[in-house]
Amino acid sequence: MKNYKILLLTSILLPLLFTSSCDGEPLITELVENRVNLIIKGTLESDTSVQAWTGGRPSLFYLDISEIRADGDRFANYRLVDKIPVNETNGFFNGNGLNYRSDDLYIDSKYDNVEVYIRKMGFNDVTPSSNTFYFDDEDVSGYDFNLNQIRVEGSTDTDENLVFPLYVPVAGGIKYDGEGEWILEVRMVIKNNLKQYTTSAGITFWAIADNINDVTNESSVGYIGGNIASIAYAYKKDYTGTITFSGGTYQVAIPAEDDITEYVNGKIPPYITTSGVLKNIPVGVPMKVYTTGSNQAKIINSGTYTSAGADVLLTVPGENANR
Amino acid sequence: MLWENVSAASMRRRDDFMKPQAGIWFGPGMPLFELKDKVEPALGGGAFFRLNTPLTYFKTGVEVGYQKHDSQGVNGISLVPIYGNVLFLLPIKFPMNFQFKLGAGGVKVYIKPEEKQQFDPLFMAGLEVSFMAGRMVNFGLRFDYMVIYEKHISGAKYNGYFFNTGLTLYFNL
Repeated sequence: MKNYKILLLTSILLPLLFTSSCDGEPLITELVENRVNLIIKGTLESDTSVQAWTGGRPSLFYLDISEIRADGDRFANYRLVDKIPVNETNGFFNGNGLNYRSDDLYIDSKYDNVEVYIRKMGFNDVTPSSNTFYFDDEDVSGYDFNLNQIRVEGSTDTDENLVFPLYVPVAGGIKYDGEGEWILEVRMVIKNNLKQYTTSAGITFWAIADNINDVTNESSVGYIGGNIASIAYAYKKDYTGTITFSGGTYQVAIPAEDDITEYVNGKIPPYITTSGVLKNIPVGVPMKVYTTGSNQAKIINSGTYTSAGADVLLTVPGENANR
Repeated sequence: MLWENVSAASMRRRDDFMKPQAGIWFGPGMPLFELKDKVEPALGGGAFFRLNTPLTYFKTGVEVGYQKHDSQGVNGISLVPIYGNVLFLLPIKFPMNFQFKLGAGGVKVYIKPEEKQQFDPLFMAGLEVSFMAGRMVNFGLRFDYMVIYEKHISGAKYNGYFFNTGLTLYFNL
């Protein structure tokens, strides 16, 4: 029975020899760690130059998102439940963004849409204040204005009105290459975009304004909270630069492959600031630049933009282009 | 007289157990530590072949297996371990056989969503408890601890650890 020696040698040494000969990549580490960082914001502006809250408003925003997908890929299959104060103290409304747990995307796939599965949204400061809704395992004072929006089947409103999922277009698409660290930012305009409604039962509550249809109180209570103005964009960290120019109220940049007229009816420009410096512009992607004197509400509907010069193409990371 | 017979039976049983053996196993595999949060437990399985050595209580074997762990999201990992091992039969007179295993070899690793694959070194340790049903058939339980060794690769922070349990059926040929 000398066979055992041959068996032992071939079984142990051959695979070891084979594996030690190739250096390889750290696949387990790749699987455990994330390259894609997902950030969500509730502001029009893409940076911290956000406008302060103005006018009457509630003090607490209830947000429950079950998951976020990219063109159907379940890369962020994690729930986020948060009570967000309606002020500048938190990332959702001050321009820094909230981190949303995620995994990575498929390499070399181009993603054009991000789907945000919003389970529930509501504000406090409801009248009467005894009105409650169920949120995060407790009854909270407020009004769940998204009740009908999560009913996908049988809904009589149009698809874009829905929030389960809310289809967020990705400006320029996500061209994830599996290298370095990536940021995917998803913005929904909630700040300074609220409206007060009253039900036939006399409950007065806050909700996000419908940015396409003129949703009034009674006939359309079920459709309140739809047509949320949104956009997403992605970039590789440390592979970006800035564009500096002035004029108008807002300075705007979009991928040059797009037409600015696409950015209407709830689709907002990916890069928009009041600071004069547009940050996180990806290297190697031609950008069109604009200024606009429109206010936030006007931008969401049909912003009028003025070209701020020729297209900008950043060629090295850290570069600043003046216009 | 009775004692003699039992002894003879156990001797014969040992002789049968010392024949070349081939078998299969299947059962749940569990990712451990960091991987536990990324992929879910899943059924795995494999086949093996064993020969005994001049050392009475030692055997040597080869194994090949397959296990695929998915998740609720995009993450996934598939493993095809191919390795050799040395088995030590606990020298006690008992109707069940206890065998300890130590092994090394390679494992084909495929991960999602990166869609990358490669061969990595593999080390394993395990325990098998089995009993003979007749002269040919063995039933048993296996417990295997596997280490996918990647820390030798630059940039690697983690190895992969899995704990497999399984039902096994193998034959004395």
